Amino acid sequence: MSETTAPVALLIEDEVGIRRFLRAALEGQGFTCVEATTGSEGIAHAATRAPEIVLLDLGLPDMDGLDVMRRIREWSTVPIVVLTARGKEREKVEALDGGADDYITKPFSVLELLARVRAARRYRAESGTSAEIVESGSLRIDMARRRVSVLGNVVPLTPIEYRLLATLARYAGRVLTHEFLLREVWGPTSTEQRHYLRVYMAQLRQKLEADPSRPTVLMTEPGVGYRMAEADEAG
Amino acid sequence: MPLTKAKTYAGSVLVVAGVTALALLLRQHLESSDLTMLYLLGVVVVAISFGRGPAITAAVLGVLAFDFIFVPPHFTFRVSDARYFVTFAVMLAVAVITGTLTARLREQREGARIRERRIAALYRLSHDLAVRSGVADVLATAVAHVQEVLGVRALMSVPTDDGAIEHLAGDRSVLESEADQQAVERTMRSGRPVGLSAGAVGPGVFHMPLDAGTGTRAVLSIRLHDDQVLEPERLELIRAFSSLIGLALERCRMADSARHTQAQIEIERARSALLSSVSHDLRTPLTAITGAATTLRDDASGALATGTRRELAETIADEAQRLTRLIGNLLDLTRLESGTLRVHKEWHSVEEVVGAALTRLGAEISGRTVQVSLGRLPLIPMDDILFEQVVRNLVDNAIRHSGNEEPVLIHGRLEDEELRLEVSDSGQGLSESDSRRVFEKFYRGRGASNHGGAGLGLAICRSIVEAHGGTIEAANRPGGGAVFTVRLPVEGSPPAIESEAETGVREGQT
Repeated sequence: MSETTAPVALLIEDEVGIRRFLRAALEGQGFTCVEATTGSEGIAHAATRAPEIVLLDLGLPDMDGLDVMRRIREWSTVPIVVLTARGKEREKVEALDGGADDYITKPFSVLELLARVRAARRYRAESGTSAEIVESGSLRIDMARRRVSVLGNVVPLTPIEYRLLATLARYAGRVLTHEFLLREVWGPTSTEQRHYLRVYMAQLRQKLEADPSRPTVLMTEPGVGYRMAEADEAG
Repeated sequence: MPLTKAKTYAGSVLVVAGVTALALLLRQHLESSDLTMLYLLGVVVVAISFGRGPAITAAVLGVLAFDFIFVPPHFTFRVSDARYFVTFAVMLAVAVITGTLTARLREQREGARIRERRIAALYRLSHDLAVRSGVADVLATAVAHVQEVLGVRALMSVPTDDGAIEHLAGDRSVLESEADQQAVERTMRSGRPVGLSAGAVGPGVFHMPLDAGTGTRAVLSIRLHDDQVLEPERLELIRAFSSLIGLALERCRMADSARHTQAQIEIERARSALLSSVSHDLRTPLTAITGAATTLRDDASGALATGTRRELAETIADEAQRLTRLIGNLLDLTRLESGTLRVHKEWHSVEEVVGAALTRLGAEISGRTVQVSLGRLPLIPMDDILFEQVVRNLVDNAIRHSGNEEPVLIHGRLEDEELRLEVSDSGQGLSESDSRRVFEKFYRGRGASNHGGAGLGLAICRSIVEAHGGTIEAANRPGGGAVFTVRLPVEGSPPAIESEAETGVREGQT
């Protein structure tokens, strides 16, 4: 990231009130904001302004937000965070599986938004972290040595448990859909077997969380998937 | 059962033959004028039994037989004495008069019987129709009557809302071709019978509109077998049936319309209750937000203390949060009630769903202890998104209404093939009317107005739980406080998963 020119954030959102506070929040983080009020304008800006992050509202006046995303994805790997509404879990899953890096549900706080933006930018650069050590709360995963510990105590895991945890850790902070996790951990033929995930997530929480019914690291996004809390987020 | 024509004429021949035989036996003892009396008697008997035609036949045959056998010269049809012509004329006249009279009597009697039967059939139909309440029911009853009383095949067709024709009751084979279908439509449109000629109706199909003066409500199609004929009397009966059925259909329509109006009134009432409640619940936070935001905006000189500014900003955030919750609840309830929300059951971990609910409540339960004891529950079939909301609303409700800082308990167990999930608090508990009404929309328990709820959360819980096929109830705990119990049926057993050995740290690639 260059120090001389500020990174560009592209806001594709038709509501002026929302654009205004997004701009305030992002400029506070050192971004230059480019605003688009329609999908086609957004696509044009994405091509010409070289944004480093795109915030995309899925309810646009001229076209389906998911189509806007797919169009941008045809030639660009810029991180995209979609803004969506509560109760639209299917839309979230579609967005994530269709190339969005993350989503955020309206209404949201600025802190929440900035955390998603940070996570999305980080992973787009690295396509999943290649860090050797991932930490979240009291959990520590040594990826090179395949060693998992909580508060310094090594916790034995089964091969599948480890693979699941490692996948979540590689994308810590990001929501991973059921389908993505099943494909990564069990292979492409198991993407319908969501109960596998539920059983193994329960086992992981039993081993890794202080109170499995109040998880601080292995978070559930009902209807969408799972997310490992980032280091600064987990308690 | 009336005899056929051929049989009545055969009968009259037999009677004449019998009389002739009797006359042959008695002719030694009787004058020929007495013998004519015997023939006259025969003619009268035939007239009474078989009617006018056979009576005239009998008279003619009688005259011929009498002339041939008994009038000299015997065994010729020649007549020597002119007075026998008078005898012949009298016999013919008697035959015609008696025959006509008895025939008229018989017709009257027959007519009375037909009328009686028709009235009985109409009475039975109207009686049966009176106890039916739906259109389909009325039509099924009517069609059964028509088929039974008239011995024909019948079919009832009604117009659907989109202008098509639906066959609701009877025998579909009545309509044999596309042309028959079109005839039904024509009848429906014109309100006049189709395929019905004047007088008796022969084999084929015809269509009667069923109408009570406000338009054709249905069409009755009747098909006759190859050798079946409907006389005008029975056609009359069909017409009478048609009006009766038309009236019954009209009655159904009016009942429907009355019910609809009643439902509209209820909806209207519910809507205005909702509107008044919602407008209050929306206006309160909006007032606070507007006040705080304009104060901040208009403080151009920066006169407000930093603490005050912070308080105002917090007010805006809190009240917006409250609005968010209210609107979310309203939307959920609308979707649940309109039936557009589908329950999508999968095998879920209760612990995970409870965990997601507590995470989502987040700041709202800060400072309060929520104790969870779920033991080792198996996966349970449920819609995670919806059930997470049930748990969230129940915990939120417990925290708001318990009125103290005691912990909220979540307890789950599997019992009798159902999941029992209890959310309990140690607060002031529920009054009697509370426990009956807490799940009603917009109901707020005692003192609830201080807690900022709109009385929707528990109504949503009930809708969701019931959509899962479960139940929810509220009661007081023996030691004080309220307990809400959700029961979810568990059907089938969770899919099996092979267990796996822990290979510990540094396990190799699998």
